[in-house]
Amino acid sequence: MRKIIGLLIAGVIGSAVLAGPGNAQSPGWIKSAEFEKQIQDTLKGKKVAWLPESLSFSLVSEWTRVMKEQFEKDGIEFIVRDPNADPQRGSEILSAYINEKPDLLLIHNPNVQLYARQLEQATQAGIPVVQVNMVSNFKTDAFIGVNSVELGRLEARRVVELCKGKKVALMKGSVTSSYSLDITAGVKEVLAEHPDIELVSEQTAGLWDPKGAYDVATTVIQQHPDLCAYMGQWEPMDAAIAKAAEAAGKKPGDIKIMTVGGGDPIACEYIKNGMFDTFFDYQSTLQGQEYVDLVRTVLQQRAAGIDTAAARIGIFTPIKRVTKETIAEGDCYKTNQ
Amino acid sequence: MTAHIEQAPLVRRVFWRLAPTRLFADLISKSWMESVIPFVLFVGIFTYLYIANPAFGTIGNLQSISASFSEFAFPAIAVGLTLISGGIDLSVGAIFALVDFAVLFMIGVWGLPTWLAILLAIALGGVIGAINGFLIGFMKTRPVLTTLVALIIYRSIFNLITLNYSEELAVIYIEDPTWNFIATGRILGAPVSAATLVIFAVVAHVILRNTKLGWRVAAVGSSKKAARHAGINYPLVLFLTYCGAGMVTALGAIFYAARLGSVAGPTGQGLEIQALSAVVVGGISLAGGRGTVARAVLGAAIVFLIQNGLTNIGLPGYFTAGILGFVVILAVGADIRWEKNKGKAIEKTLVNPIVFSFASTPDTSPGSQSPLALNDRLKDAEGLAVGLIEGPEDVVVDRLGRIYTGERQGRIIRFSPPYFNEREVFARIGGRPLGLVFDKDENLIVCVAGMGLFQVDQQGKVEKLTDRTTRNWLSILDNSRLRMADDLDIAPDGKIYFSDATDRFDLHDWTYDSLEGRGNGRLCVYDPATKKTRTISHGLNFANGICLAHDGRSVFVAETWAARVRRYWLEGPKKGKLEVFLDNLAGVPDNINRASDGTYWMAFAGMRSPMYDISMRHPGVRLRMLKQLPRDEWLFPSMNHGCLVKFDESGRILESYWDKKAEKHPMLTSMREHKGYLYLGGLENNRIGRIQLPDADQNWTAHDSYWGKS
Repeated sequence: MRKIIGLLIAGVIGSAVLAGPGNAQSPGWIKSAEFEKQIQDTLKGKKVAWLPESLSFSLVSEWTRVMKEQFEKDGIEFIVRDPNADPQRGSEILSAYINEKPDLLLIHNPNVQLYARQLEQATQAGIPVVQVNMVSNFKTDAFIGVNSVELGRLEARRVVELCKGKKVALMKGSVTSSYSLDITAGVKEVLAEHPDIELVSEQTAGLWDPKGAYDVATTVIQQHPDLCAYMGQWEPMDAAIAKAAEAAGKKPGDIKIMTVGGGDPIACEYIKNGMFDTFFDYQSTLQGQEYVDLVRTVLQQRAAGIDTAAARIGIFTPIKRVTKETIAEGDCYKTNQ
Repeated sequence: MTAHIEQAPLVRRVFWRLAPTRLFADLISKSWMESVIPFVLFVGIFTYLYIANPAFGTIGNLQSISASFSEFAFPAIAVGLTLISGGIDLSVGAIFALVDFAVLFMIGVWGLPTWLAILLAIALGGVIGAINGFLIGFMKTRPVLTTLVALIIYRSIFNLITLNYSEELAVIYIEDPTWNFIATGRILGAPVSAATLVIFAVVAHVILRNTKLGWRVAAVGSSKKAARHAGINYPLVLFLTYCGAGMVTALGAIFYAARLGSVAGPTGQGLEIQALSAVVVGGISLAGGRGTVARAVLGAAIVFLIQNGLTNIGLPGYFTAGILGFVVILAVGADIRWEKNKGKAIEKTLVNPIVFSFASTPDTSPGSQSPLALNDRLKDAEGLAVGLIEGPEDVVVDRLGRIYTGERQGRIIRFSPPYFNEREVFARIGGRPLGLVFDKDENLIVCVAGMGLFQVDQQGKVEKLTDRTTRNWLSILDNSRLRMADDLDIAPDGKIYFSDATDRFDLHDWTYDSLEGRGNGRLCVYDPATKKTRTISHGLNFANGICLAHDGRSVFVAETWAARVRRYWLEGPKKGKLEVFLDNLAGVPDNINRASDGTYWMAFAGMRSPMYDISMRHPGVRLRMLKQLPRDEWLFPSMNHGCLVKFDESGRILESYWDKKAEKHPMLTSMREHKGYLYLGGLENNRIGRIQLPDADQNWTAHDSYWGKS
């Protein structure tokens, strides 16, 4: 077991060790041209099936765009089927994928429960599964995505800096998604150390619904005109908090609004005009690229006969702190690319 | 007389005989046709997916999609039920979500036994549905608004619950053999949910179609008012419908919960629209009262396959939703157009004439040596009960010399000698009484068009003998119902032979049958001993007058539009055969009755004309005539100019009686001989005619002739 984990870390190069233990010459000695061919040959014609939560989320479509572009270069067949945030359809698609036995399943879990049993099935069927950004109760070959608990901690720490002894609020997305649960947990972890800060509201916007967020924020701001900060969980939803604050007669900065997300253009716009205080950006364009790299890794390891499912690795993608002072070109992606 | 018949070319005859429009008219008038279109659609989509996607048809995929499909089909059936009851249930999505939560929570958090949790979950669905049912049934709120509000409220409750229990729900993991069996078990290779769906759908289909409760649901859906007038407790029916819909939805939710073990915000969201799409596509009418469980399942399958297919080709979700919406609009449009135009389409394709070629008409010109030569022997016919009767199609005389006849208003009228000027209502039957005859016990047996065969005893008490006969299994339409019972006679063994003139048209449309010339009539027999009715022969060309031969061994049957009389043998070497007895008559024959001298009287309701003969050879002309001309301008036998003829056992026409000036009896449909007189009836006359027969046996009565002197 330890050996296998070791091999995983060693990656592609290590796989050669297993490939030819009987060779006189150590198999790691490969010429560049051959190596290039080996990579290309391994990836070419592989089938990667991608199950997003919904392509109508800009974050998700940005990942999809990047992956499509990259996989095309590798000659990987990239299958995308969109459940449009419908859990039943999502499970149907996943069933179909499992039946079709792709070389790799790329899953974006809407919540920790929904696909858990099916992911177990897929793993039993020998299909490598990479989960992105939101993790399931059932862990598979790999998880890659933002550390959502850390996002919550970051938001709360910034709030602690700004709002000593004051009131703050938290806007939740979908209450059953691990992403939302994790951010909330991170926020509470930090706030627990600072009892002077009062969390006056932690209502949900419904299903990542900006309209719902607007309504909730309007009420909260009305009840607590002295609110110091509002922590969000997703840019378009949090933008609605800013709008609600504006509608309540607050100037930008009166209520410090924290947001997290993959770099929706609205986040950069609101940072620039001061409506958002801090944006913890997990940079979805970059994330998409990282997903691609992880998929390339797992595919090559599998091709070399390594049981990647046994490792259950996890990779947290970097989080960038964006403020009015630090904002740079490329912190947000462009939509409709 | 042998005459040359000018035949139309075979191709033309076959074309008009086959008449695809008739097939079409018959098919679209069948209620099961409404399921055929969705069925074809389903087979088409399934076949397409099977061919286009190699992974689709694999056993594994079919198993997994059938599980997912079943979870969707249950709420679709629920919505179908409420639609049939004349309402709608928009809250199924929220009920689905609540039950999903409840069952997982009961097992996973409270630790209830699986079976108990499932029963409670179904009960929960029933209770939520019952709230809708109570409001819609007893409080008489509108279904759309009520269930829409219910949707919002139930959904809010669900959101509230999931918010409060999100942490518990996130870690639920149920390890229970029963629950696992429901989730992943197989019955004969099918997922448990799919197997349950099949059994449930069959049972529900039968309940809805064949039980009192099911009929009541449809009756309330068709018209609440009419249902109430019929004594149906419609609030209760509606209450039960919504309660049932809730429970059915719960079934789907339980299978969903078992398979996915997940409670999420979007659970069941938009389900009501998908389910509604499904049932509408399946052919359940939005107007209520029309639909079956099978159609709901079929529609669900179509919608499911469309979604599945579109998703699998990688179309973004919003496109799929849009295309589905488009399909629903098409289906709703088709439903409305179908309802609106079905009747018209049937009407347009109702009459399907065929080529019918006559030989040249026998000579009837005055002065010719023909027994049919035009004369004026009815000139002196007496008019009895003039103005007191409307349309005495047939007349019959009892032993006391009283005349009985049916009239347009559905009554049997009696006139007594000597003056026959007092109108006495003998019996009220309804329909249109046509042929009349007395049986051995002097009960009056009547053929009533639109109703069947009836008996009226001497006190005037009416009793139905039969209103249906054996159907023709080659006919798409069920023709077991008697449509136009026309004339009858009774054999010595008591069996009643009667004609059903046409099984396609009602009495007021009898002219259509003439235009068709196809032969939609039947000879039937009713056996009083067994009370059973049997069709002896179908395809008769307007089966009309019936008369038992004097020796009781055969029956004459007049085929009006074919200008022909047939003979059906009851006994002897030709027993059971129906042969042509008189062909190419000069007129269209109506009733036939015995004459005192061992021969037979027959009425010609109208005479053939050359134009009529030609038009019968040209179905296209008749069809255009039907569509473009008012009824009184159609080419037709000259119905205002008939005559009486007498024929003998050998098929010879002996003599004829005409009303040359058409003053007394322009239309003759019947005649009865009684003690030296001949009584005349006519379908459109305002009198009963009578002429004296000086040469006839002055003591002869039909009763004696049939049943012997008493």
